[in-house]
Amino acid sequence: MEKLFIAKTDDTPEIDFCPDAKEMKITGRSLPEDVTTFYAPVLDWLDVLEETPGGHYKLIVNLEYFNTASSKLILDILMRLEDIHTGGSNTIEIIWNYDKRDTDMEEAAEEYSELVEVPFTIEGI
Amino acid sequence: MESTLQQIHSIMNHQNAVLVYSGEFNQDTVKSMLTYAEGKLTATGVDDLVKKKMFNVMVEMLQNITKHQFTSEQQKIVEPCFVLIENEAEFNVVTGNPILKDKVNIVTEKIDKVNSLNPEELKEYYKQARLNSRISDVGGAGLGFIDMARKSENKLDYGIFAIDSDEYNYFTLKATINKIPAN
Repeated sequence: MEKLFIAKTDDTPEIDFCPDAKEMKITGRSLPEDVTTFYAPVLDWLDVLEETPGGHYKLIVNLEYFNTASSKLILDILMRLEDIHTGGSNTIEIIWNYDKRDTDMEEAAEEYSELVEVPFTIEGI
Repeated sequence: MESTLQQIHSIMNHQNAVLVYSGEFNQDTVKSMLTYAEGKLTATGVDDLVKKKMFNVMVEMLQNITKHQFTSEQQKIVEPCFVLIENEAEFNVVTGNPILKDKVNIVTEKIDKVNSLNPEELKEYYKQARLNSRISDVGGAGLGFIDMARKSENKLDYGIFAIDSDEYNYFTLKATINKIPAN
């Protein structure tokens, strides 16, 4: 598997998916003009992950803001990870960090955790 | 009686307006407006969480215009606008844009629906809507009004104005964010 790195911009987060560390990090703000195009390489990477069995991978989310269109794509990513986890090719855990004063983000993370059956840790920092 | 144009202009000339923009909307102008608005909000000394709520609401409102504006000559009769207003106890985010007369009912029914729900119901409605949503051709998830109502913690206000066009009305939307959040 290859590393996937996309540098962050004003309106898109940093994507840092590293097969050596077995970590998938999403960091920053997400309000792209075209969410489908932006997140396509991420979903493609998860397709490759599914076909590369035997690992334990962590998704580490450090998002300070995301718009509603990104919210839908993040749900797609989490559901894809759930498929991989329950399908048994790899085990997955999700760690969602948020600014501990940001109750809206805490609530958003909780809502996601209720929707996917993957070990899910929500931590206020 | 005030004409529609005067009414629209009176929104843009609100005495407490701290930021007014009227003209073309695209992702770059939206990013500039957000940066400028964040600077203005920082200067008011408002709480970071309120600033974040404002940012949430502004993104959804501004991206609604970039996604749903029309590129035909018709819309230039009255250009889209964005106004940020600071009152004593609250901020208002106001946007205006031409809307196809055919679409008015679809939009106002969506807003009436979110205005009829309490915070718990809104949360549930958002969860269901997101599960069922598909990203549209213009890149929206159809969740913007629900999110604006949730984050602003207030009802959304709107107006539909007649302009000099057979096909279009002018749609204004106003969100209110309290300087001291409810919870």
